[in-house]
Amino acid sequence: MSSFSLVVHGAPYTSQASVSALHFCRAALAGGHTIYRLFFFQDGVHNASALIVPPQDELHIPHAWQQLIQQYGLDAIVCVSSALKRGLVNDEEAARYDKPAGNVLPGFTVGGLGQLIDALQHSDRLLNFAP
Amino acid sequence: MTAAVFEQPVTVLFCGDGVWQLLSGQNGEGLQVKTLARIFPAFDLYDIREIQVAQSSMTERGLHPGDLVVDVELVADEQVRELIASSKTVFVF
Repeated sequence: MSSFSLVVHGAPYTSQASVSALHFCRAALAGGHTIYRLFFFQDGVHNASALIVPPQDELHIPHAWQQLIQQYGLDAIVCVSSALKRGLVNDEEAARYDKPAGNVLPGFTVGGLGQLIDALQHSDRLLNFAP
Repeated sequence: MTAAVFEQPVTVLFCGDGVWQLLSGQNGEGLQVKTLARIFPAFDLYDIREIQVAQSSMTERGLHPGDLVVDVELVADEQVRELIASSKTVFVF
């Protein structure tokens, strides 16, 4: 059995990257492997948005991630510098930068690049899902 | 650079249109963007000495090592394959 970390570079509904990562994650967990960390980077941070409302007959990608994260207790990190410049803030940063509200889905944690390096040190494999 | 701070051995490879990032004489002011080429000389401060550039990408674009902001090692496509195969982790940006 292996431990994986996934780096998600793609925004939901823009490229296949995030859904491919989601499918890989489900398959790995179903196969008894472990996911050390999910790292949402660059446009990938939009996967953690609490404000996404897709049509009802389409997969709700952020909710699918959230469900997986909560079901398996996964460590899901959203890169803080990628997030801030794309308008994704948690409640703490919303207050710090005087924004009307936070919009990071519960289950996701805002963190830094150090956690990406930590993931590559502690996983058997680190996979990038990029557009 | 973050990886280097965490004392991970890093090799940086520029290939394809990525080689344009290293071109000297850049100025992003007119486009109101950061002049990213100014960052690359800082590789040295982070002890990142292995800066490789795909020879074929340079040739296709008519570029020479003297056109770049840092000293680089030109590598053949075969060496690029070897680098990727021998690295524990590969990040693509």
